[in-house]
Amino acid sequence: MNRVVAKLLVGVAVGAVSGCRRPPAPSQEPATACLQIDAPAAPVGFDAPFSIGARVTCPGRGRGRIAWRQVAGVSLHALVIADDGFSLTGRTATLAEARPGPLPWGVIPLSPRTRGEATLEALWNDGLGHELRREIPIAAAPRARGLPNTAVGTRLYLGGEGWHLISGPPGSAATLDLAPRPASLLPDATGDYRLADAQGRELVLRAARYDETPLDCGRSGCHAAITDAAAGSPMTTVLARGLGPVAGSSSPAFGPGYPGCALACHATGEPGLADGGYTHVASEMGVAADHAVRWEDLPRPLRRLGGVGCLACHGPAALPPEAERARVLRADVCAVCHDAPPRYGHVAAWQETGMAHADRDPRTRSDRACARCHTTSGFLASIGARADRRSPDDGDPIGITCAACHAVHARETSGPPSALLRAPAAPSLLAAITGDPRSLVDTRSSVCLPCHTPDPDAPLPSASAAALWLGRGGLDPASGQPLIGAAVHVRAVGGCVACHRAGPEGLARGAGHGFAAPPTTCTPCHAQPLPPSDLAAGARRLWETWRQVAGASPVESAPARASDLRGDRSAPAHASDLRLDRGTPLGRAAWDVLLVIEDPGAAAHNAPYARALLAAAEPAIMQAAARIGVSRK
Amino acid sequence: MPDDGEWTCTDQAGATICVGGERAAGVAAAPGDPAFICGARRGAPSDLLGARICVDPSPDLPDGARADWRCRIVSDPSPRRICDREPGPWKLGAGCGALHPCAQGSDCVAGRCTLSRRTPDCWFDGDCPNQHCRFGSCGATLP
Repeated sequence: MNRVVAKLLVGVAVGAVSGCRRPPAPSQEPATACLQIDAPAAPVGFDAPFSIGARVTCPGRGRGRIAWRQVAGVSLHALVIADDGFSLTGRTATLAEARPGPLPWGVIPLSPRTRGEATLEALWNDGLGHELRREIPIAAAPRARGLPNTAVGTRLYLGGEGWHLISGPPGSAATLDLAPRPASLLPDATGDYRLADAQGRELVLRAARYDETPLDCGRSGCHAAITDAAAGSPMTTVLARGLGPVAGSSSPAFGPGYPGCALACHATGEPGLADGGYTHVASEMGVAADHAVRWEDLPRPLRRLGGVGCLACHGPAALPPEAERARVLRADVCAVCHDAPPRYGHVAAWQETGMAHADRDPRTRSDRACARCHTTSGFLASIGARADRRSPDDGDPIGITCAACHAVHARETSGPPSALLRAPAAPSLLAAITGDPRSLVDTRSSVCLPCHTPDPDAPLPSASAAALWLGRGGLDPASGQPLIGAAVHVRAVGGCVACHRAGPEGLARGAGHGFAAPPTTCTPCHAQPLPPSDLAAGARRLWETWRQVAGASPVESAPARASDLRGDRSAPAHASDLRLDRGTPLGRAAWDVLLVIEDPGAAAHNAPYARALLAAAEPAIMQAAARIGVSRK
Repeated sequence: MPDDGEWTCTDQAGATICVGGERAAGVAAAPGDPAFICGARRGAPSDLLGARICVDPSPDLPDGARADWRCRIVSDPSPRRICDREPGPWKLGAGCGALHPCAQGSDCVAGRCTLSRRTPDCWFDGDCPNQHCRFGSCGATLP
């Protein structure tokens, strides 16, 4: 077992934990290195035993005892403390405990949250009144992006059944470990590993050390523009910025103790593994990886691995097989750092949103019109950010992931941090507003607009929240002229995320990726609770009347298949095959009603405008109903 | 290496010559190694070697005795410079005179083989019409 001696009071070496926890309170003991703790530095496996030993190194010091408790992570099992706490044994969580739910086929993605990571706290009392508190990380598995290109020395776990290794690269002695399940492979040499499952479906893994992977992605004809932009990305420069000196201080810009355990996410590679990553290469060079050294003074091999560069997300080795390349769009890639609750809860919060499941209906992935807003690849193609419309896996939904909203290769602009949010062109329906230099639409909302604004050329209005929020989208049934309303909430700082910023409790960062807008969001401006809205019910009633009219009047209402629209909300109205004829007053009235129906938050987004839409639609619908003897329910 | 980018390097009579210059993708900027003198490779090379040439006329050596070492640079799997003890009279820094000429492209100045400071512009002879490429610079005319 790969072990590291962590000299307490001197600073725990960069260990196997990836989500830095808040540093413990300062010890009462002056800084002397009197206690050594010998703990596993590398992941030990799922449902696997581990042991920790400790000893007092200063002659004449009291031995005392060490009290242990688990302070973070998935529960460890069978913890046995012996020898006054100077010996601890235990067992890591099973994969099912760490990562509940079905496993995807192929490389199983593992984040700090799902890799069986735990933190033990040791409280040493030397019996003479001195106490020392330190945290010891334990992990079952290395983090994994779920991509087929990976680092040597990094064990991969495989979802699926009946795996067997067909071939490995020259010099490799790696074998598949079939027990305990799931199967796993520890690549030990650079090259391709061909595997197949029980059905003969093949998986090609490409392995190499990080430091031996060329960084020539920017060659002419390849990714020159991305490389140019990424040079100024805050992801690229995070370590350089963090190591920068603060004027008048010897501390690095990101504070005393930096980089420390932040290296797991501010540099490339998995600490504790022989993967050619930052800490491994530093170890090979005899350099202390976790010490603060000015970026300019780092050795070249470490600078090439410092920061969140290409390989940190795309993986080392070589380009994956073409069919596998879109896998990088999965949130699993970001999760290796942004899924470490309670400190980093971005992915955990996002998983609770509808966006995370936007493509669970197969039709949303196969129908190009749906894919535009139900798949990450479709959305990126629709805004011109990515030419390839293919989803990572035709049979496996991934949702609208991080890369849809965040342009991770982009250069950070001057001004307040933008979180690398994309700013796509405004939808045509809103172009007149957002294109106005006097526009008050917060740029942080730009990326929401394309999928929450109906396409005026679509057969039916879809997801209309942004349109209603901005008082746009409606049509005067009589004349066909646009119905324009006031944008009563447009001044909210942040735009959409001014209100849609709530998520799971207990997350230090990233909870806003839950995008919930609970009623309490309104209270800062609306001291009194808003009365229950009758907008949705009113829209439903009008819609039911319209359906009867349309179904009974083939002359005036072009849509003949109004029954396609389901009234049971099992699917949104816009998923229907119905086509509205906006050349008729009745078709335009239906458009207005559906605008309201398509926005479940219409009452909060812009109640006056929603009411105006229904008020405009009602006469046309009721007149038509009266002509054929349909009464309003 | 001249900087954090992608380079192919070789040792020539004690000098390090590098071709390349492709910026390392996804790496924050850092100043280059001031020991290198760099220039644009002649013409518009369409090969994958790169468009810049850099020369370090006095690279680090295990004990600083330039004439006592012969170094080579291996690129695969990652760049490393390996030096073996192998004295040679014609190397940069070695004594020179009528009986001990310097390597072509270097000069005997005050009894020592030296490299005049010039902006490098070639990787191999093919970069220099009708000339030899020595120490990264087009110079000696072909016979």
